[in-house]
Amino acid sequence: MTLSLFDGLTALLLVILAWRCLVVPDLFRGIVLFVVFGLLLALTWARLDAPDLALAEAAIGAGILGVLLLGTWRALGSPRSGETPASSLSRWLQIASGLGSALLAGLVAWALHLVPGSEGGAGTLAVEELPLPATGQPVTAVLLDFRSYDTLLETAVLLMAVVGSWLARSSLLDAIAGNDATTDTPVVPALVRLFAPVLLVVGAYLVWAGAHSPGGAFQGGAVLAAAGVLMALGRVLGTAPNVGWLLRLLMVLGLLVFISAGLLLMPTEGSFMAYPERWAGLIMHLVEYALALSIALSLLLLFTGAPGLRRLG
Amino acid sequence: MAGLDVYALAAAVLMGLGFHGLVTQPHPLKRLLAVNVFGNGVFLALIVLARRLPDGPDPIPHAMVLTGIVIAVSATAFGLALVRRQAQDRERGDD
Repeated sequence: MTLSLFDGLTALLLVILAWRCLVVPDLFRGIVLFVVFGLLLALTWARLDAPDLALAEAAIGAGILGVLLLGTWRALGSPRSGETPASSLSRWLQIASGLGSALLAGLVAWALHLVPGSEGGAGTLAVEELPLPATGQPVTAVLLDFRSYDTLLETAVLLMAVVGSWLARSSLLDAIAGNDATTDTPVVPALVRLFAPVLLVVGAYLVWAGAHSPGGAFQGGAVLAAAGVLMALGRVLGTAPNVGWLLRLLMVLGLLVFISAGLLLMPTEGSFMAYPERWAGLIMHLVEYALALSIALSLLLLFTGAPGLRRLG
Repeated sequence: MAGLDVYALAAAVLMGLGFHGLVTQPHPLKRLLAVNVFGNGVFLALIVLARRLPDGPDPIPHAMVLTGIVIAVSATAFGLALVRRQAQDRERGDD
């Protein structure tokens, strides 16, 4: 009974936070509410037996996305962008949109209520067929073994997003560093020196832990990227106008290792991304570490928005 | 499915809210937030469905949502870069 009360409150809070985040006129408050919404969502994932997602949501969804949103809010900067203008749509169109959205919500709720739990579906099959000796963790194993294409293409999408934001030429770090007084205090560099090594260790641990408990390349990569963001904000890392070849190599390392592991084993295994049973665990680990490095760098570069990185001191 | 699943309801309402926000909000940043709220509603629906398996949660929707979170952040980050660029160009046009 207490748990159902907890569930009810969590679901209600999720809806209220999402609603407030969308209707509040002040952009800054909207973003903060969105970050809180993300954290509550992470709690919801943990409650719904999805600890992997809880970690990913807290690190990527609320953490990295929150930094990106706040940075962009800062970069937009001009006083009139603080308050968002009221909708330009006429009252009737807004009401029509509201009714349509309510209808959509109603239909989705009805559909979700009707869908039964499917026995003997893909999920049951996947759980039975998992190469358990390779990785004892179902989500990581499903991602790398059954849904390799998803993981591969998702890393490619991340890379494309980085290339896209390079093309947009709107460096976030340079835009906010110009008018920033907070990094002049001695506290920030000291805190960065204190936190960055801990974050790096936690990130590496999450990648390693992905093999047998919640964690994995994406969660670990996001924490590593967060360490990078902290160093960039504390002026330990700065932006550079050019991409060094080492940085480029590290960015595509995940994709390269993943694709070559898939291609090189084709002659012996017969199909793309089929791994021999004996080596599956080792290959998965290799791919995970390479992916984590590339993901961390890509997320960090999405934050800085500049093509290169350099050490400031 | 006995009883009413509050999380399924919340997922449906989040989708409705996100869609309404996307249609009516004029500010591009707010629209990005709305798209993300909609996406989170879809993720919540998937995870609710994953729990209806009799023996333990289904790892496949979990893996799909994990992929989805990363894709959503990539797309949003790209959208934010475009928003910043648009603001830059507008400032330059005003001068």
